[in-house]
Amino acid sequence: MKNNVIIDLKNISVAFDGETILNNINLFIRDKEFVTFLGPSGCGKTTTLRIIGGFLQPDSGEVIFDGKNVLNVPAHKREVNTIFQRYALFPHLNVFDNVAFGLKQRKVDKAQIKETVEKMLDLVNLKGFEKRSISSLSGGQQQRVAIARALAIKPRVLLLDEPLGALDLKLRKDMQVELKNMQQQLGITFIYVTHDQEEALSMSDTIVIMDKGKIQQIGTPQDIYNEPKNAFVADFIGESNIVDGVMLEDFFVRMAGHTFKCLDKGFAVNEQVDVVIRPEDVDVVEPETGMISGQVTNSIFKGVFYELIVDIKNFKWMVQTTKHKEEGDVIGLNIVPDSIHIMKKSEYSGQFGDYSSFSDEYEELDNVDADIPIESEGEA
Amino acid sequence: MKIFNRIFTALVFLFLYAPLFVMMFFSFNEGKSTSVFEGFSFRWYKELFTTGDTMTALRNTLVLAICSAAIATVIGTITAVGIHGMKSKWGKKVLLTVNDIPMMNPDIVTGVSLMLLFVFVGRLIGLSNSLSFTTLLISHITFNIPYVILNIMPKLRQTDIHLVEAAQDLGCPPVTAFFKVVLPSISSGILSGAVMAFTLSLDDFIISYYTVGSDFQTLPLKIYAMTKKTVKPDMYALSSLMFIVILLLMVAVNLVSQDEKKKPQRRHTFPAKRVVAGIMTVIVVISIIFALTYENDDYESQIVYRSTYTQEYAGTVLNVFNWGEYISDGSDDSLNVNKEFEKLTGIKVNYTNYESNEAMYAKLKSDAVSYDIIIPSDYMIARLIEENMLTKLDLSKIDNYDLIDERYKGLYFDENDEYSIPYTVGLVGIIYNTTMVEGTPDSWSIMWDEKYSGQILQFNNSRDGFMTAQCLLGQDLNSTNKADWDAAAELLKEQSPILGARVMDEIFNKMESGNAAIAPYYAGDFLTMQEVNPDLEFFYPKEGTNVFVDSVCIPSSVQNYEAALMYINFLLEPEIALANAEYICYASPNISVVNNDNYSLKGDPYLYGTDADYPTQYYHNLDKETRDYYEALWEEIIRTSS
Repeated sequence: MKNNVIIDLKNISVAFDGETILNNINLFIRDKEFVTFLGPSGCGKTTTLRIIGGFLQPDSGEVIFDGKNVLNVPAHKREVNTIFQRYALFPHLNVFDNVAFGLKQRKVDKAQIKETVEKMLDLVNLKGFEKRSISSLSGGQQQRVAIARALAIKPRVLLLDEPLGALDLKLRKDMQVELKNMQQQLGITFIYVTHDQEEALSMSDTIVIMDKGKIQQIGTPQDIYNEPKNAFVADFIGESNIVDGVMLEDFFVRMAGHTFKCLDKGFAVNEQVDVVIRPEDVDVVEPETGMISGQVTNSIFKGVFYELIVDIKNFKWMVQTTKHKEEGDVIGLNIVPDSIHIMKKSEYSGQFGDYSSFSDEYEELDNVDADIPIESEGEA
Repeated sequence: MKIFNRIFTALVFLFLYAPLFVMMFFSFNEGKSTSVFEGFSFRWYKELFTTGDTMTALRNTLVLAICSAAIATVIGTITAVGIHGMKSKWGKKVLLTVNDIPMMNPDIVTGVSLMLLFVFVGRLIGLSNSLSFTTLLISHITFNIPYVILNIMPKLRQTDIHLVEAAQDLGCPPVTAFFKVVLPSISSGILSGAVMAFTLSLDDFIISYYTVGSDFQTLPLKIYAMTKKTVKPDMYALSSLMFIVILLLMVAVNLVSQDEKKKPQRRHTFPAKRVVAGIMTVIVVISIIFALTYENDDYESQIVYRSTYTQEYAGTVLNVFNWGEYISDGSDDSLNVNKEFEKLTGIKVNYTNYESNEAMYAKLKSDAVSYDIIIPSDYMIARLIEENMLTKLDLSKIDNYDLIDERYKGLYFDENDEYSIPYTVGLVGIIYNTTMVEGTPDSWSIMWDEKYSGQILQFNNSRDGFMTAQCLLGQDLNSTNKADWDAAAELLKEQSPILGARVMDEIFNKMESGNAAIAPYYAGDFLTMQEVNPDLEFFYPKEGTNVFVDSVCIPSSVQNYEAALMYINFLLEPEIALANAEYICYASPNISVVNNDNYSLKGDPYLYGTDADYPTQYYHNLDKETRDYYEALWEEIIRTSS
């Protein structure tokens, strides 16, 4: 399992002014893997990246790179390269000189530099931009120059700190695809930091979910989505109804006044658990035929489906259905065993998964907040 | 409305630039006058480059400005980067505020406090000369640093904090990263900081005034010291040149920074603006290098000396502190006295100027500088002797002392001729414009003649002002009787309504241009004015007048006594004294000059009229009570007349 590990973080802890930023992080990253650190702002993802980059010394722990502890290796000698949040392009140099910067530093001969720079600019579709000044480029173009600059010196690992955060939605989607293609083409390990779960799901081989300086879960996008370890992960990745339940015995859980069949086992008898049901996994039926029933308190047309908020025993569920239901309608709900995921109780229990305060407006506000790039100073 | 706006803007700029254009205009004046244009000529520009003195002061100023700007820029840049990198926002704010305070501080406070510091430290480490070029340089660096920081901080703030990390990431060690990435992005701030520091240092007067030593004089200090006589037109020429050089520098800096803002699409096409800016910078640099290296050495001495001068003290330094414009300096094909002395003896002369007896006294009293030669006036010599601030002269080493006219030996302030040797002599008389005044006046009473109401000028200092009334009243100029002063004050009050103005230096302008008809002033200066305006005439009032003697002395803080004696003897040399008498235009107490047939002013009735015609009186150093009394009276006169 650990045979082609390139970076191994061991027991990394960092605190600033008595405040814990990273709490005993343990993580390994395989060669040529696309790993994403995902979490809300302040979760420690950028700090972890900066420790790998060599810009920050952890208070304790080890950073193993290719089998060697590199804690004492300064940033400029590490075989990793970073693409910074706002690119950090050198404003006094033109595109060519920006891309050639690392090569010149390595005393590569001129012809070789020219060749490499042209190849890189070709790779990022900026051929012919060599003599342009940085300030004459658009955000997307600057992004590409930053990528070309980092890739020009052929790093083993590329660190990307919310690289698409400053781009508009359309451009972001395009760049996601391009970055993924590039990573596969070049065979370089990408460590990608983002707070955008969709970005993480669509690009990564492995996602590392972080919150409050701790790793909450590591896994493939499918694992994380389908088998969240706790209420935080379940809520952060996609929409989830997280309902209090009791595990009656293996394969039987009781919640919302009904006993459901499920596929989970290995819990103690009558153990209190968190039950996760994704909104799209609920079948809407007539009240009489449903396993449980409730009243629709809000209905929004989303195009492909309606998004309903349903009050079931004073707990607000989110349900996505193609059936048209109006506010005030009483509906029945069916949930098949495969759609139920049981989690052990955690510190996050009870904080997430209830849509009682939900409204579209809030959601949008949340997104706006999340889109503001967080000063890494503050996070670090 | 638009037209009104334009007119207003034009007026503002006219107001700002008119003085400069007037100055540039007069720098091309054929004559010496600052009010009458006598024809176009490059005379003063030529003069500028043939007068060693001015060029020395200019070179000093440039060396000081370049050194202080360079050092302040380095220190300021490092400090700014340090402040910017501070983690504590509070500490940053405090430091920046602290940085702002020196800029708000009045220069005079900065100057005085720096002087006190230097003197204090100098005493602690036992220096006799605590003020020197070094202290001046330190002061300039000190007041420049805040401006450099102020210029760099905004650029640092604009710089992405990740730039350094990005450079390190690409393989630069931290220090290289700073030079390769941070420095270029703040370079325009550094440049404007350096230029600002340079210009501030270039024209600083007040701080330099307090912190300069005896071995160095900058241009602003020199110009200020010229106020005893008039500012010479070669200064207009120099100021015009400096204005143009600074203008070029500013335009160049602006062109570059404007260029930078516009961010040309292609960096390598060399837009015209950059070329222009480059050419301008080259011009500025060349003129600075020219000024720094300029030596006017096409100068051969053919003087025969009475005494013999040895090279015994060659390599030593002599600090001479004299009035501005009070020595023949090589301008107008005259002899450069100091250079002549340097060639003859190998002694280096540091020649600096003061503008009044009191300024000289204050500098001497500060004990922070030592001079070897000073040239104070009579009453000041009395005061200096009284306070033990002069050293006795060894007359056996001054062979040429026998050339001093017996009339100027044993004068009241130095009865035994132990401390001083007369340098110049002058009398106050009345200058009048023959086209405006009827007949030939012969009395002070003309200054009270209502016929000339509005055209009479009066001295704008108490002692000289009182003198005019005291003479008319036939009083002793050094009376300690309060009733005498009261009577004189009464007379001056009567005069107030008919006065055109109370002036000192402006007398030159007003009389030369015919703006005033009557003014009391020194005979020597009248000759200068008459050159410009031949309608002017001069007389010594029959009631008597004030006479002054400026004498060469050696202060008790002397460092190079033997060389000082040699210098004094040299000043008495017939050829040297002649050159000085021709240049200064005051009467000479040196009989070799007075009797010299080559002396253009030989027997000049204005300068050398016998004092049989009119009684003359010296000013004495009055006691404090009397001084306070007449000063109070004078203030009242000024107050009631306005």
